[in-house]
Amino acid sequence: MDRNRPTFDDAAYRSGSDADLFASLYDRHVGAIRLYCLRRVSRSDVDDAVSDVFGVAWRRIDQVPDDGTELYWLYGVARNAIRNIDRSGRRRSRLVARLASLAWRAEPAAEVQIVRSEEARVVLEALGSLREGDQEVLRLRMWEELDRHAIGAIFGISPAAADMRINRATKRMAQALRRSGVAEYFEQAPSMIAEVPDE
Amino acid sequence: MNDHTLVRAAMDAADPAPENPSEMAITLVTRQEPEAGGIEALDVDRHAGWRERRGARRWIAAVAAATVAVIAVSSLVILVVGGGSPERSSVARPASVSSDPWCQQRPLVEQPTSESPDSLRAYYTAQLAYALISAELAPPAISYEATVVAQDIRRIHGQLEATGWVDDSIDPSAEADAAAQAVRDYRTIACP
Repeated sequence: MDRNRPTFDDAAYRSGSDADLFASLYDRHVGAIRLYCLRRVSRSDVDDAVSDVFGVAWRRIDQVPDDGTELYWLYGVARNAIRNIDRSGRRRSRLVARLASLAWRAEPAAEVQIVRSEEARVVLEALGSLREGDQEVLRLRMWEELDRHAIGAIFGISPAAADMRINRATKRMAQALRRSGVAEYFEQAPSMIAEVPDE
Repeated sequence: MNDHTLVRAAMDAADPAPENPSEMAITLVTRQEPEAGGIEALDVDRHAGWRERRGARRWIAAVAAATVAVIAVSSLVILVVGGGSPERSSVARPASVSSDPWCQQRPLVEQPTSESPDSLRAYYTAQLAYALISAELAPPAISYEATVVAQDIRRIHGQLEATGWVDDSIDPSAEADAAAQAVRDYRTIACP
């Protein structure tokens, strides 16, 4: 759904430079934002999340930083957009539960779904057992491959503080993985994984 | 294996958006009766493994080949299971929908008394409450109105922004969209 993409009429209310700035922002970062959303919401919600992010960017184009950290600003917007989607997802769950009480039976139908492997599911459960802040630090570090400077910019903390949070989150995640038993799965095939020195 | 290596390997394995989508596991599932617990996985390909950060080409190629095979098998099963079921026409619709009192109701929302943020906020809250209630309870006959109300909330949200009221913890526009989506979901589920 592209409801938040600016239309031609919308653009007429903005100066040409705003429209150009937004177009540049979109072209450069839509891929990264899409991946960010893919990693945090269901695939059916990704388009909505991405359009929400750039809808906010369009409305607040004058607040987008111009010092090279605009992607981190967009990540922050995306984080809020995903919180909203999480809320609507819970609402939909309640709706489905209510509908299940109706005297109506669904027709069984086969379908193909892409699902995670068992190991990935356990890893995500371990990730979910951490505090939300630790989860996001790990996602940003491991999935978005951001360094401590970028993570510090997103969280509004110094690179040194970001480093500490990364290390603490990593240790907690490793503990969670070992508790879940899935760590053995990865440790038994060391040839597949390049050893990474402790940072 | 140190903590960083372990966590990176695990997070790579769990990355929902890997650089190469063929590394994802594909499982064939069949949708069952809701009361039977939702969906049942047949586990055609449970273990797709994980990717080494910048290697493991061999694994990736193997998983890609398995993926193609699974899709082929899945398509066949879908044709067999989903096609031409003789019971398909016997699906029961909710019998009470057309007689539901909600069918006779119309949106009833007080208009804002002024353009002040408080007034608009109260109006928005009422609109949203109506949309959400409609989305959850309304039969298909009035779900269109609920959708229109939800769209109206977005307009109100624009006014709220213009007058300076924005609650960082809630995005009314997203809430309204969610209400509209819930209505669409209702229609999808209740009106096959």
